[in-house]
Amino acid sequence: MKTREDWTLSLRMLWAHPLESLLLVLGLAIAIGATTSGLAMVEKARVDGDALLQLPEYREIVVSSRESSDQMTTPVVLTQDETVTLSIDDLEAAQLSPDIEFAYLAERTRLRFNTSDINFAPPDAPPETSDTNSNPNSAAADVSTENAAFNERPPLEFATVEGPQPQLDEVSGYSVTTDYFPAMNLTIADGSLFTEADLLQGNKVVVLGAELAKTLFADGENLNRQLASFTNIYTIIGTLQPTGTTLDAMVFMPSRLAQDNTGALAFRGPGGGNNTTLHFAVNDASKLNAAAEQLSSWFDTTYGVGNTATSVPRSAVEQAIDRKEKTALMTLILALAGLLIANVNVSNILYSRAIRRRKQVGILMALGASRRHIFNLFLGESGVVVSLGALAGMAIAFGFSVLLMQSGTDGALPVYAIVLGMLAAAGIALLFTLVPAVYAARIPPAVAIRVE
Amino acid sequence: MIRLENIAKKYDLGGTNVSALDDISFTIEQGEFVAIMGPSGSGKSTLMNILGILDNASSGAYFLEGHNITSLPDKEQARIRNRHFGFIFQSFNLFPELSAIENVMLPMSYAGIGFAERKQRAAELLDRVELSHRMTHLPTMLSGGEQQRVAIARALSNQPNLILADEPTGNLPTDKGQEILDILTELHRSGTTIVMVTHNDAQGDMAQRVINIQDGLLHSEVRR
Ligand SMILES: Nc1ncnc2c1ncn2[C@@H]1O[C@H](COP(=O)(O)OP(=O)(O)O)[C@@H](O)[C@H]1O
Ligand SMILES: [Mg+2]
Repeated sequence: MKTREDWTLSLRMLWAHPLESLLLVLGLAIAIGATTSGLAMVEKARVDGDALLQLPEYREIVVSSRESSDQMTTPVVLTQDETVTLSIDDLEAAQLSPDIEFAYLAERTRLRFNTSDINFAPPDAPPETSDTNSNPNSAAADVSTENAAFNERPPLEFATVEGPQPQLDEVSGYSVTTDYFPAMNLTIADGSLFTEADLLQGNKVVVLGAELAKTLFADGENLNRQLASFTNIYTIIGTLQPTGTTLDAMVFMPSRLAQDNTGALAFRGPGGGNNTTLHFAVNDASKLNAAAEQLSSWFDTTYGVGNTATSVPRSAVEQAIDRKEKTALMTLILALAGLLIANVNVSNILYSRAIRRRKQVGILMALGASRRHIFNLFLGESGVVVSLGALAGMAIAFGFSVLLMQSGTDGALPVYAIVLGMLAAAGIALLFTLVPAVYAARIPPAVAIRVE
Repeated sequence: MIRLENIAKKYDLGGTNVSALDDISFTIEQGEFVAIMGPSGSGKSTLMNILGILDNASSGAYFLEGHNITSLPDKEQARIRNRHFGFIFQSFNLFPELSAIENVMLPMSYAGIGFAERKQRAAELLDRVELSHRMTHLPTMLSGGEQQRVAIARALSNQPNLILADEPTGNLPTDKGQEILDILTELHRSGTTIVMVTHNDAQGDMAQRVINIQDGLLHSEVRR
């Protein structure tokens, strides 16, 4: 145990060599800061990756007809040459594997409200809910077809409703079939979800995400209220429990089904085209690839090899996460190399300091200090240096975290990881200072006392 | 109080054995004032270090109050140095970072004496060596004589049975050295056992007994 006089002695000695002490602290601060940041980045990559993979959409297998996937890359849209049209009946393929728990359609959609009493033509946009399928070409094609259709129509009566109007001009969301809700872990909070019957009858009903439910109407009331888009009137039949995801701000409506040329019920996509994308979800992510294999071979057999594409979004995400984790790990390894160098340096400086102070050690022992006491004395001193360095290092890591946060997408480093990383780095640094402390404790007092 | 039996100290200097002390035996009684004299390099400091268990003898036995303390664990040795011995060095050896009073308090802190009490005792000790006006001064602000008086106060802080002084006046002008000797004489009179190394015959005359060392051997022992 160090006595008060020991501490006075230690601190005044540190203070007596301000530049040396400052360099010690600074070197440690940078090395500990880098190590702490590196560790926190590794942890963040891991936690973020885990959270991402927990998302229900990464238990999905997506099957689409070939054209729609080709459209992603080819500039020419060959909608006339569709050889394959996937229909809602193809969702039955889910029966192939017991691991496939849900099968559904899910298309991005947008609902624009006509909140005005006066009927006027909306600007350039098509008057109906418009699809925002990630395909720019098809969207362009849709607009032209819709506009053409629009121009041919007689003067329109836009749908309106009396009573409270939504506070938003438009909301985005999904047109889905019933399995979508359990697959995305969406559960009803108030009212009810739409049913198979709603789907088949083409009922104009919507379900609101939890956030949207709070903000859509000024009074927060939603159930059985009506929403006017420019061509339809939708009835709100339910609101969802919050999920903490972007889905909370979205609206969900039944997929619009229409008979295709073979008579099967297909999704009526933008411009009257048929839906080409089916979603299957497994309950256990480890079964994804096997289930995807089964689906792929079934669709190949049914529609011909190359006419459908089966993809597992999780794979791409896993790769991205893996890349991110490896980058973070690399950063950590570099930081650890820096920490090692800094520690060797600190150990060296403290060692030469102990040599310079041999005489002091001898006198302390003459006055009654045991070797253990001398050891503690030196360790206490390096403890002060390491603590200051660790605190400054932690400040550096927090600064880095703030920079990351300000730079946008990535978000801050987890605080617990910074604190634990700092403790670990400081612990390593302290281990290195054991060397000079052991040296000091082994100085023979009779020899030390003779030093002039 | 102290009995040395056939103490020898050899240094191994790269293969050749240098004998710093050989076959030293003597006793020191409670309350004695013993002077150790001898030419430079004869082994006086080596003997003092062994007496103060700062150094271990190569062979022989050391009895303190009848207990054989020749080889004790480090912690015990530290305890004995702290509670029973007071060291005074030629070059004062105060800690330049600590004030006079803090220097005196330090050994008491190792003895586990509470802060308030050791502060009060340190003040009394500094008063006893007539330095109450210098208590908060750093050693660099004190003269050599003053520093040595602080060192004496520090040596006395745990009320030692034995004061070991290795040429305590060696770095001081004669008049200042005399002040130190006066304090030691005063201490001796009040019952403290003192062993002092000196080159100075006049100082040796103040002691009750002079142990003369030459080439590591006990040359003569003169009692007065
Ligand atoms: N650590 C050591 N290693 C080798 N020789 C030493 C050591 N310490 C002292 N000596 C030798 O022991 C002898 C006695 O030294 P010392 O006790 O200091 O003499 P004195 O104090 O009488 O001048 C000297 O020859 C000195 O060189
Ligand atoms: Mg000497």
